Amino acid sequence: MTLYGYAGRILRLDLTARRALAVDTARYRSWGGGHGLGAALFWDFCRDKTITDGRDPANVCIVATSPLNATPVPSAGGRCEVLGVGFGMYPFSWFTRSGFGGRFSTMLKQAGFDAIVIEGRASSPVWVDIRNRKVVFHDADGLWGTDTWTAQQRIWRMVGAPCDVRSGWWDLNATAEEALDPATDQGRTTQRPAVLCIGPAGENQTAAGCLIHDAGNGAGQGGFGAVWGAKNLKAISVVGTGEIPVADPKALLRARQVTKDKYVTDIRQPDFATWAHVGGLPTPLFMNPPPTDERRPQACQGCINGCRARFAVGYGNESTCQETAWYLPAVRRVARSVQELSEINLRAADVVQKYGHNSFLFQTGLHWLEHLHEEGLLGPGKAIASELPWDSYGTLEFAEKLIHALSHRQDIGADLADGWVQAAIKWGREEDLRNGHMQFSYWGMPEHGYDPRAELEWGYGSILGDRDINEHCFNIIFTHVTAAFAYAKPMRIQAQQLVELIAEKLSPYAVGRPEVLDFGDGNMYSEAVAQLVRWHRHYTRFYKQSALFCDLKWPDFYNTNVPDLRGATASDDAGEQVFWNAVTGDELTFEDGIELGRRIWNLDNAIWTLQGRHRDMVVYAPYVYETRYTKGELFPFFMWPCRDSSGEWQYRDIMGRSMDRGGFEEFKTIFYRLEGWDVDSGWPTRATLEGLGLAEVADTLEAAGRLGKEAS
Amino acid sequence: MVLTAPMDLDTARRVLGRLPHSQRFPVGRFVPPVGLLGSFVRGLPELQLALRPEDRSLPGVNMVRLADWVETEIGDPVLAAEVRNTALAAPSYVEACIAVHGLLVERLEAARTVVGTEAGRE
Amino acid sequence: MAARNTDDSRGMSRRRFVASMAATGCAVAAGSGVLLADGRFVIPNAEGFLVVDMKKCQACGTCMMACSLAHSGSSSYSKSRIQILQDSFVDWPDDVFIAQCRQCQNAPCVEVCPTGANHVDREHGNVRRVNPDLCIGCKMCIQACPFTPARLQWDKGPRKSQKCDLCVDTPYLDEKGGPDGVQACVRVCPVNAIAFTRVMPSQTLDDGSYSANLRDWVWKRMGMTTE
Repeated sequence: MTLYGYAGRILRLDLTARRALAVDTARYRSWGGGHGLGAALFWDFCRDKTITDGRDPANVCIVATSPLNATPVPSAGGRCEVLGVGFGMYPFSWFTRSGFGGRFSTMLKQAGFDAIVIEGRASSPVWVDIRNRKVVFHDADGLWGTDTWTAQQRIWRMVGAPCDVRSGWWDLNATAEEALDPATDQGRTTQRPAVLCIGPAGENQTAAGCLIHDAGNGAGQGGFGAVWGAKNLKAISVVGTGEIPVADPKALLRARQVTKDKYVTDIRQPDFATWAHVGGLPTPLFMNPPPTDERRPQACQGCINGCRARFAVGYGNESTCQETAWYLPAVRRVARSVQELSEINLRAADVVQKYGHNSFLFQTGLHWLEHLHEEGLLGPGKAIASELPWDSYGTLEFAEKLIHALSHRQDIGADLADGWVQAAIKWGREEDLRNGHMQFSYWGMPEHGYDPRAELEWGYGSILGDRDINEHCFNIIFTHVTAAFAYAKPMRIQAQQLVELIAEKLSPYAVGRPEVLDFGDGNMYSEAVAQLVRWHRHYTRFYKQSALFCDLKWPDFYNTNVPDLRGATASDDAGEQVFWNAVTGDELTFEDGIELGRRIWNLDNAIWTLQGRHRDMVVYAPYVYETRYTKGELFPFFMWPCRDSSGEWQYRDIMGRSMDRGGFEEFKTIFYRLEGWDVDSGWPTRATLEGLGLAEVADTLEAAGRLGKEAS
Repeated sequence: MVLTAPMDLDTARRVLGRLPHSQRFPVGRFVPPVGLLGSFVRGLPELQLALRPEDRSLPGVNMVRLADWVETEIGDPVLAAEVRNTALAAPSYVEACIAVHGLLVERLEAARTVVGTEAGRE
Repeated sequence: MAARNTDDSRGMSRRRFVASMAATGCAVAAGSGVLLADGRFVIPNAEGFLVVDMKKCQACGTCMMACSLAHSGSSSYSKSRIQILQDSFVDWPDDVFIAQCRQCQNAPCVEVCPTGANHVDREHGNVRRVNPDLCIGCKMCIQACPFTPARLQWDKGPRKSQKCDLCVDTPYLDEKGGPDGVQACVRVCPVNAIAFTRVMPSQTLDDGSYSANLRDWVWKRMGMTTE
């Protein structure tokens, strides 16, 4: 039977024995793809689910695609999910996830695999060469110790890939006989291998180690670079010439065209200020001024409007968003011209890409380090010894030395490598987590900029899960409204209409309940907001992390390109479920996808429970309770729809408050109850798990003495 | 023009100077649609760089607190008053940022003139 | 073991000359063209061409996936009749190359076909296309293409050649394709980096004549060069 949308096999890499095995995807079909598929694989293949350090050889790391990869589903064709127990979080490294874009998932599918399960540990550094279904382990001599860009280009040469963009077809057959035999013909491609690899930050098993693909696609959070480094895995290279069957190609192409024609602004006569998620122009998200106009937008495979760029200037290619943000505040204080600002900043982005270093930890971490230095606590001969050239803070030289040290466990990197909060405690700086100098809000991760005291669903989703969520589903509200307010422009959509448009799509928990979006003081710990958080967790677990619709484009709740302002999400003509069904042949409703997300989310919680999670651990860093999110820390206002005392909706500034400890505890109880979890522990119950077809999971939790009690 | 009226050397040096870390002022950056970055400045020259107009992003400055900081930490009440008035009069936050940036450019230029003149005398 | 590169030299051996004369005979017999007294093989010009702006392309590969789907119902880069090549580690504008079929005026791929599978489709604007029912998989058309990468593809499943037909034979498109219809790649491109034209570009062998500047005032307003 054809598994439409799937390649049909899952690759198991046993690094210990250096052998490759295959598993039929059909066994895991019900989990969809991406995170769902990966969590189910983790459950089956990770024998010890109690580990809390991702460097443990028992850890299993999964790289998972979706049926939508390698198809032109808008902004879903090229994403890829990574799962496993992470490293560097606090107090535990949870079973966690990350994602990246580019070409890897499309190529892996065309090579014939839906996912890769990485098990064990190689005795010495290796890289894995996948060409269609041929899998070869190689010693990583000549690669280990190199940066990610050098490693990828060396691998291209080693496998004999075309040398430049004007090369000819690459015949993957080893011999003429192989090419002539229909049973063995490997086919031809013009594409280079897609390589996923680690750099020095991962090789040295630091908390910042991440996975890099091409110049600027990265799986950042979770410390998966350290996981690979601990497994002695340098890189996986994949090239394929296969094809992905699609159940209804006409419907797919039709829905893609509808997306472009109806939901995306017309690039010939665009609305430059559209309020939409999927509907804007290609917008490279580098945070500095453009270094040149000689550039193109660059996109992941299948994206409908790319978020990266490639330039003519010799630096900054494919870096976008976070890696162009981490050093910008420092550079801004020293750069004497706009050109210098952009160049230093983008070259600093190149540095983190090449080292395979997750720059997100610097989001608030770099300010903290600077604060320690300026307070006389960190530096040569200080309590926290550091020989880094702090006097040149803001220069490219400093950035290079900082990243080198932290990637090689040198200088302050020796302590930061095992986790930043751990380092703060070791350095006797726990008070910085109380006073707000170190804004690491949850699980040893920095606050994202969308403070948990203001943007509730972001903070709640992060603390109730395993990491900073990095999910902009509702955050787009803040962006649209705050930017319009800053320019004193008319709001494209007034508050009441906005929340009603969104609430139409919050099926099944909050449909028609716009109050779930009221982030006013009086609603912070309410059942309504809890329903929003539930919807958010379940939507993202399926549609964004399993089906792999890109976070930067989906969901599309409201859309000013459409006369009635209704966005593409859940729509009958170009909704997420329309694309899923066109590719797979399923007949999912939008709500079916939410329910699948609930199932996956519960499996995640079961794994966390086995790892040792308890509701008593689910608390923010102290500063979130003990200080206020005051005006001007990041931006002078944080606009969000709220109801006033008469029930009228307005856009209000929700800065200036803290999170109440007791209120948050009440919120947790409400959330756990709604999720069907034991309110005392946060553990899933048998009834909930069996209702999701996860009886076996309930058995495992019970045997471990960690099954949640049913509500009385 | 108030800002370019002669200022004493002491004020000029404070205008051009750099404060201790403990007296820093928070200035963020909003890069729609996804960037909200924190930072701070320790003096008016840094603040001028932070407020430099850019097409694709906005500085994050609380103007009321900025005026207070200029008055109490930098010690330039003349500039502080202009910042308050300018921010109040601006039709939007963005125009306030642009206008305050202009004030800074003038004030820093004036300060450099004063310091340069004094250096010449010495 | 190293993989082989299939781009042979363009020189004409005696054996190939004899084979090509036979092929030309087939092409003439199939009604594709006319063999002139001086030995030139002449076919009617195509009535449609694709031009591309390689400085504009966002290298998302959507055109490749759409092309493959529209023609075959499955998604595969190897089966796409337009190829996007890119290198992350090379600067703009040399980081992207678009290899589209040119619907050549003299179409060597048509001339060499021994069965007439690769022919001029007079019912559809003289598009040069491969009839899969007649193709015997000899790959001579792929070898005859003077461009690198060759603008014909080897479909290893049915073991036949294929090429761009301007979407004449696209059973998975709602709309009619061909020179009088839509082309999947043109329509799906998010940045409109591919255009259809009825004007035959100059038949030089360089990229220039099939490249077009499709960047306009919108591109400039987005902060990117239109040069």
